[in-house]
Amino acid sequence: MARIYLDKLCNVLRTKNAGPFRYTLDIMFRDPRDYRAVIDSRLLTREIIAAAYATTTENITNFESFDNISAFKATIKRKIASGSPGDSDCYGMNQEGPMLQISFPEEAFLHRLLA
Amino acid sequence: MKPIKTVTPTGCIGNRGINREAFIRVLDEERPDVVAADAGSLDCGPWYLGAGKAHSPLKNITWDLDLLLTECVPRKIPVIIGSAGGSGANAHVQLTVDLIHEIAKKRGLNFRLAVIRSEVNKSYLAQRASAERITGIDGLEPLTPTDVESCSTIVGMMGVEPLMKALNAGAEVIIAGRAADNAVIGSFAVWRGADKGLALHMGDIMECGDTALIETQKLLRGLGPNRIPIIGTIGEGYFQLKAGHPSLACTPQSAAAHSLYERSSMYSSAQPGGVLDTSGALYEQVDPVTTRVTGTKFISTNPYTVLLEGARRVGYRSVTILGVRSPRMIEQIDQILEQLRESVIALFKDEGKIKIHFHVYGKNAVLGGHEFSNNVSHELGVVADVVADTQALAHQVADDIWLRLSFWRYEGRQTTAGNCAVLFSPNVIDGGETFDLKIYHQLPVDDPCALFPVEILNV
Repeated sequence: MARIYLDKLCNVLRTKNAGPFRYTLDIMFRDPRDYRAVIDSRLLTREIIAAAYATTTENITNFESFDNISAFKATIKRKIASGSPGDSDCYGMNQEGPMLQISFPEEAFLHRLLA
Repeated sequence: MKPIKTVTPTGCIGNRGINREAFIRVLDEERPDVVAADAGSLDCGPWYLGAGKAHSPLKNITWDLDLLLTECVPRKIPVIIGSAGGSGANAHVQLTVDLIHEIAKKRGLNFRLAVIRSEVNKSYLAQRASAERITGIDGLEPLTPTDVESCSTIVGMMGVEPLMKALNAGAEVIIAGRAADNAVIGSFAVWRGADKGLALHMGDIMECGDTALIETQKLLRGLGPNRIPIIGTIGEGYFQLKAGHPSLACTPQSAAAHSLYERSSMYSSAQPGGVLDTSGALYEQVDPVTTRVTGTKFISTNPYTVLLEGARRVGYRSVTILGVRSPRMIEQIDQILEQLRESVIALFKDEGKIKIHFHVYGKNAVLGGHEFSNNVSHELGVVADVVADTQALAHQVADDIWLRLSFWRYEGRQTTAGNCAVLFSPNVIDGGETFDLKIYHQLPVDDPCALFPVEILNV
C-alpha cells in the first residue's frame, strides 16, 4: 500500500530551542482534513516521534495537538545544552530531519482517495 | 478601553536591520501608541552572556537604534527595548546606552531615558542559595553558592513591572536589561490597563516581528535592512495582528505558528510571576491580512519568581578544520578519530584539563545520535573543537590534532605526503573563553522590581 510522507502534508515542519535544554518540533498541517485523519487514526504519537528520533518516550517532555490550528508539537530533551562544548546545533533549528522519514498509510486519508 | 496599538519593528534589534520605508509608513498610517522590540536572547548560547559581547553586528544595531530614535522621539511615540545588547548584562546595557547617547547627540534629540539593569549581585545570590532552596528548570539541581561563585555573569529576566515603573516615571525611551520578550512588547498595553494574558500572548507572537507573517505576494527581502514591522492592537477581550507591508499578512496559522515558537508547550508557558495559559486561545481571520486572538489567560503564581541565567567559564577554545577526501580514510574515520583522541590526551593530560569534540560534517554531524540516514559523504569536514584550561594549551592540542590526523598511518594509506586538506593559515583558530550555562533557576522575590533598578536620565 502506498504511503504518504509527513512532510508532504505540512507547511511548517521545523525545530527550534525551547530554552537551553530542550528543542521543540512544530508540525503544522496544510489541510485541516489531513490533520483530522492523522488524529482520528492516531497516526502521530509520542511513540512514533521517539522512534523517529531514536530515543525513548521519557525524553519527549511534551506531545500535544491543537485542533484550531491543525498542529502538533513535541519537545525533546537535548543531550548537550545549547551552545555548550559538544553541541552541534546552537539554536536547535536543524533537527527536523528525522521527521522526514515518518509516513502514513494512504488509506487513512479517505478524503484524498475520494477527491 | 480605547484600543492600544503596539508596533514591533523587528524580531531583534540589530538582526538584519529594520526596513526604513515600511517602518516610517507604519508610523504615519497607524500612529501607534508605542514601539517595542527585544534586542537579544539566550538562544545564541551562553558565550555572549559570559563574555559581555553583542551577538548582532554593531552596524546593524546602530542602524536600528538610529531609525527608532530619529522617527519615534519627534513623533512622541515611546520606544521600549529589552534584552539590550543581546544578553542584558551590564556590559550589554552600557553598550546600548552609549550608542543611544551618540545617536541623540548626532541627531539633536532630547528625551527622558530609563535604563533598567538586570545583572544579579553574586554575593546576594550566594547568600540566598545557602539559606533556601532555589529550584532549577528542566532538571537542573537546586542552586548552590558554589554554582553562583563559578559564574562570571548572572542576569534575572524581568517581567512587565520594572518596565511599567519606568513608564510611570515618564520615560520616553526605555533600555532594559534581560527581559521576557513578551513583557517588553506587552508592558505598555498592560500599563494602560489591558488584560495581562492577552498582552503577553500578543507579545509572544510579535516578538520575532515579521516571522509571524506570511508572504501573500512575492516580496524581495534579501537585500539591505529588510525587517518588516508587525502591528498589534489590543482591546477589550481580544488582540489583533496585521502586517506592516501590503505583501505580508497575519493568518490564524502564521500567528499560531509563532505562538508555538521556542516554547515547550502550546498550552501554557512559565512567565515572570505566573503562567500564560493559551489552551483556550482562539485564532480567527477578520480580514485577509488580519488575525484576531481571544481566550488567553494569565495566572499569577505566589511567590513571584524570576528566571536567572548564569554563564560559567569552562575553559578556552581552539579549533582546527580539516577536509578528508580519501575514501580509505573516510571508511575508517570513526576509529581513527577515537585512537587519535586517546593519543593526544595521553600526551597532554598532565598539562591541564582538556576536552576534545569532533564534529564530522558529511557523517552525522548535525543530528548525531538522532540521525537515521546511513549515507556518508564523499568528502568529510572534520572540525576538532578543543576546550582546555588555558588558551595556550588548547592551541597546542589543536595543533597536535591537525598534525597527527594529517599523518595518521591508517590501514591502506597511500597519501604519505599528508591525509587532510587543512583549512586556513593559521591552521588553528583560537576561540578565546568558552562558557556553559550553569544557572537556569527560578528565584522567588517579594517585589518584582527588586532585582531591576530603574535609572532615569535626561538625554
